[in-house]
Amino acid sequence: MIDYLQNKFIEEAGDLISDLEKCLLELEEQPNSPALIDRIFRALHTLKGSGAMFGYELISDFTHDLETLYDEVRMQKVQLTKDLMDLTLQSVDLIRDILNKPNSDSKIFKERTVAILNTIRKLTGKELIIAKSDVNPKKTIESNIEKAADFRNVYICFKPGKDILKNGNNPLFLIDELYNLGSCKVRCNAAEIPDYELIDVYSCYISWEIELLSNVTFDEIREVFLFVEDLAEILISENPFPSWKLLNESNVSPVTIEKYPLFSDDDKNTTFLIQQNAVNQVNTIRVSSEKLDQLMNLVSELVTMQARLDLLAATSGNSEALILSEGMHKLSSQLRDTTLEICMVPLQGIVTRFQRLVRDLGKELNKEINFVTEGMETELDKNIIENITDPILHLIRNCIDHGIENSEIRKLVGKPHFGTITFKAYHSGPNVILEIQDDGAGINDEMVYQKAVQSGIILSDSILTQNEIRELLFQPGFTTTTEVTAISGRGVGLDVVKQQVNLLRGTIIIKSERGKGTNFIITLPLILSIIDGLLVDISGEHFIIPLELVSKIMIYKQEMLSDAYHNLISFEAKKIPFFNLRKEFNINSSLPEYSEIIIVNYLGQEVGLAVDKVVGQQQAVIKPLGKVFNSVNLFSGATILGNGNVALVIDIHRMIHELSNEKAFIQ
Amino acid sequence: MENQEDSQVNSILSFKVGNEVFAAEVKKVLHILELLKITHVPQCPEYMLGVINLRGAVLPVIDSRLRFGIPPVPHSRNTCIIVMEVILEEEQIKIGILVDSVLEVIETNISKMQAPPSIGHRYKSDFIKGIVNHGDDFIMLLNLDNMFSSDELLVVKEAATDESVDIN
Repeated sequence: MIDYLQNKFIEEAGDLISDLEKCLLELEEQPNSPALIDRIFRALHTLKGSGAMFGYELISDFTHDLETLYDEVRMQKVQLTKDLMDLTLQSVDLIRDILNKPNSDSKIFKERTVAILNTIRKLTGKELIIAKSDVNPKKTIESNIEKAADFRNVYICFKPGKDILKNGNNPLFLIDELYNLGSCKVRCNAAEIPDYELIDVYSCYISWEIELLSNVTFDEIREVFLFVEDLAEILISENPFPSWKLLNESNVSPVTIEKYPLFSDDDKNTTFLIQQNAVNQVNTIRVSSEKLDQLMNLVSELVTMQARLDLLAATSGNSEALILSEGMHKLSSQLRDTTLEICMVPLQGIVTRFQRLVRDLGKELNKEINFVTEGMETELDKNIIENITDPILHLIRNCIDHGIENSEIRKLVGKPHFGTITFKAYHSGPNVILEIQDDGAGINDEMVYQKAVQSGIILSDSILTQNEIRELLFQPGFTTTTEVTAISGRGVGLDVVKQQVNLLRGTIIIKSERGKGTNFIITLPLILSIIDGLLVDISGEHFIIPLELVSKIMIYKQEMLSDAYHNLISFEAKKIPFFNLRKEFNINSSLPEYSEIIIVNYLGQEVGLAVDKVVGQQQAVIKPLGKVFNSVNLFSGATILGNGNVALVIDIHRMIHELSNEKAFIQ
Repeated sequence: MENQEDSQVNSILSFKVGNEVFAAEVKKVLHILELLKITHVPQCPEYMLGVINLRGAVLPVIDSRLRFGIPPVPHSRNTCIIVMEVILEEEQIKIGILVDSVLEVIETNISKMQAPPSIGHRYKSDFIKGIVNHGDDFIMLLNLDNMFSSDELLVVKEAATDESVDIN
């Protein structure tokens, strides 16, 4: 039990330390921000309290002194200087060390704490008076309530255009999403539905008026409608709409819905309840990752079962079973999405480590560096995040050490005296792209070539293209630094980065311009264990193509494919390359009269894939093909269909890459 | 039973491929399945028939005829898949073998087994553990681990980085 609690403490302390670190780094940006100093103070206070409770007396004593210091800072009795912050960061490292090495000699730690405290004492010129500090617990609670206080009613009028269904949108899903934002009252306006004979089943005649009680911003609401913005009229207002009629004066029939107060007095109580809940929702709970993995497995099983149920219901002809299976389908896909979401964590969590590295290393090498991040809210599977941190650290280290010049040199070439490292993350199709960019000297291709010759990686008379030279950087044993420093130059570096990225099924490329800077671009596949796929048929064999990549499906006569010159086919007045999967997969059976070409997005380029026919959409749980098929890299796995058969999941990027290398007609 | 005291007595499952009778140790056999729909995996050696759905998991299936270099025949109603547990590169995996027909379980004394002939035999002697006399027949007891660990199964070694997708 004690062990369990102690582990909990270490876990919690780890969080507090990261938070401390983050606050301190932020504090450098905006010095003397009272909110940040307060946060630091609170974190130290908590560490002190729980440290003492679990027998980490050293931590508790040490943090106590630090806390006293920050109490003074808070009262503005002590000016928080850069040196003081440096010391605090060192202290944070020390606390982390104490936590992580429980078996080390506590004497050494003790000495280190005393050393830090002495320096602090010297700097502040004050004896750190051990004061009994008490954080007012009321204060924290108040601030929580403030967070949830801006609950209000938002009125949304959502009038989809007639064609919205033709684009594959389901307005009801959007309304479901609104439900996720808060409590909704939805009124449906069915007045525009024409007479029975005139109804076009593919058109949408319905519009909705929604009253949403929530604390989200208009932008967040707008995000829900992001993809239908052009297809629908969306009005969001904090005031109730006077009536439906005002919105669409001309074409609304007079049968408007009678107005009634949406939130009556009774509802006010519920409003209160919701606010109460919102206060509680600020809390998060910790769940072990094994439990998450287990949940994920169960959801995978459920999705497979669902496919069977769907098929059974569809073939049974029993309308009730059909309704049931549709309902189940909706639930299980929501459950799937939520579970996937739970397993995703934003990059935010690892950024502090990078900031710290840039700061410390910049100082050490006497380079002024600005670290800029973009898109840190981008989420990745927790397993990917864990494994990508070290490669990124390494790349940033490279940028600081090799990329960014000294400020004197920078001034000479007319660059700002401080260097900038940008860390960007964004989605691109099913991938997440991470860019690490510096505005330093760029890669000296000539030097890279010479070094490679020297270290015997290439022969002295090899003729290489620029890309090939850049590839050399990823060779084991390659280094451009002449001296071996503690930071880099050992030649274990980019090759390991590349290996790690490859293990995550990702790719890495370098873009660089002499004198302007270098950009490392890492593409990580977001291939999760469950994907939405397009089920296709080639002579009775089934394959899954990840739906996210599919842009269009076209039908072509067989002759057009066989006559195609150079594997190019006309598509929307362009010629685009295509692969006949039948041929690539060596499936020899009689050709169908028509083939369907699925246009997929391959690194921004349109590429066609010819199949016999498209069967439909399918949720696919990707199961590994296993060791025996390690050599087969056209597929990312297999999935079990509703009828019990197995379909292979095509790894589009890898396949097109592989096939185009053979054919060399895609740049 | 009379042979309870004899630890050397093993159960083996015999099956037919072409005109030959082979056997596998029963302790390695997990299931015997009727022939079901096999999904072909492109880019594989011919004897790798593809994958099947074994109670929700994906199971590779190989064709024993093609593996032993016996010309293929159309599948009959006796054709079935024996699911076995084998060691491949120090890892236990399940694999299915398509055979012409399953015969019987035989109790045999392994110590009485003859060593496989080293010369003049059609099959790679690595595959054969020994030869068992059963009535008038000779049964070749397969060395399953060797049969699957041979490099041919892992065609391209460089592909080691292509880890299959994790389910989590």
